[in-house]
Amino acid sequence: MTLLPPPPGEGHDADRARMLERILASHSRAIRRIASAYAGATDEAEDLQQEILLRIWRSIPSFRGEAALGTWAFRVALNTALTWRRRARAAPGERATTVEPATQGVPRDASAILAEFMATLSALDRSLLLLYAEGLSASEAADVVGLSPNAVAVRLSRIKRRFTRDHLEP
Amino acid sequence: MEIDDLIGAPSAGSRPEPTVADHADVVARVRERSATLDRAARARDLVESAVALLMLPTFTWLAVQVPSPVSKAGAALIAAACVLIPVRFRAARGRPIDPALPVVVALAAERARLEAQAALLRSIAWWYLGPLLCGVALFLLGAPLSPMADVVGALVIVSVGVVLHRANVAAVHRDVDPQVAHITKLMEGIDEP
Repeated sequence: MTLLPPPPGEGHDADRARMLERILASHSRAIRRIASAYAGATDEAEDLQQEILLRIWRSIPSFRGEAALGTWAFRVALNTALTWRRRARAAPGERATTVEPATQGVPRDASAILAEFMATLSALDRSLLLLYAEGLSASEAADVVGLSPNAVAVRLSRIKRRFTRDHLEP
Repeated sequence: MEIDDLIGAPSAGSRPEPTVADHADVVARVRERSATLDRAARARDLVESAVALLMLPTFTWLAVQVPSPVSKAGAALIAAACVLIPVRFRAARGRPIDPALPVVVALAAERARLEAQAALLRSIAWWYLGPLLCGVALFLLGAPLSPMADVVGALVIVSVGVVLHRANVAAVHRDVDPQVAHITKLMEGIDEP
């Protein structure tokens, strides 16, 4: 992850567009995964993805380069997803918020098993697993969520143990 | 197989990676949506300012001109409410929380914002309904109307006040309290390693 030059001003639309394109080039898959993990249903995930990109776009003028671009984008994406999920829970019926469990008897691919497991985690643990899946170290993930690296490592270890217990042990 | 094997595995339903042209298209759509939101916010601010600009001088003028001291007091109260209410509304909106804060910090900030919003809505009787409806009631009371018209006016004002107050308290209970509870639950045990 690289540090960017000083932030563009509010009016520098072209600079803002270039920065968003850089974020998309590096992190569009991660943003899609985050949206799917928190919104579940395909249409909702698409809406959440748009919302995340909108938040990133509107926050770019306040980017100071104090955190790495990836860390910054992950924070915006996760905070937007958590807000989305919270509002959906407050207004049940307006949006689907749960990941559909896989149909019994139908072979499931890796992402379906992972999505199903993520749906059972708390929102914060889900964030940590998503960051881990994107290849962030415990230290980088700690920077995104605001916990200590030790706390992140311990939580990830628990998540992995739980996955093994729930899915793999007879 | 462990969770790490799943994370690295390809997905059966995965979409092809977007191209640079796709990204440019996404950026254009995001830019347009952001501009639409900005226009809507400017329109809302314009309406609020226009209402205040219209009501404030009108009721200030009435407070000076009407002969009845009771109506004068009512008009003055409405004029004061014209200033107080937009100020409280803007304070309630406050500065938006920076979405680039660390997740745990953003959660704490969001909870504080929601609690402030709930307190503001629960106290709407004191800063919104009270001054405005008392002002209207006093203004009508001092006007040369029949006693029956005064009674009907008072009943309408009290009813409107009660309905609006209950609607706001219900909105807090329905929309804000569950969000605060959800954040509190999320943050429980957050300090544990």
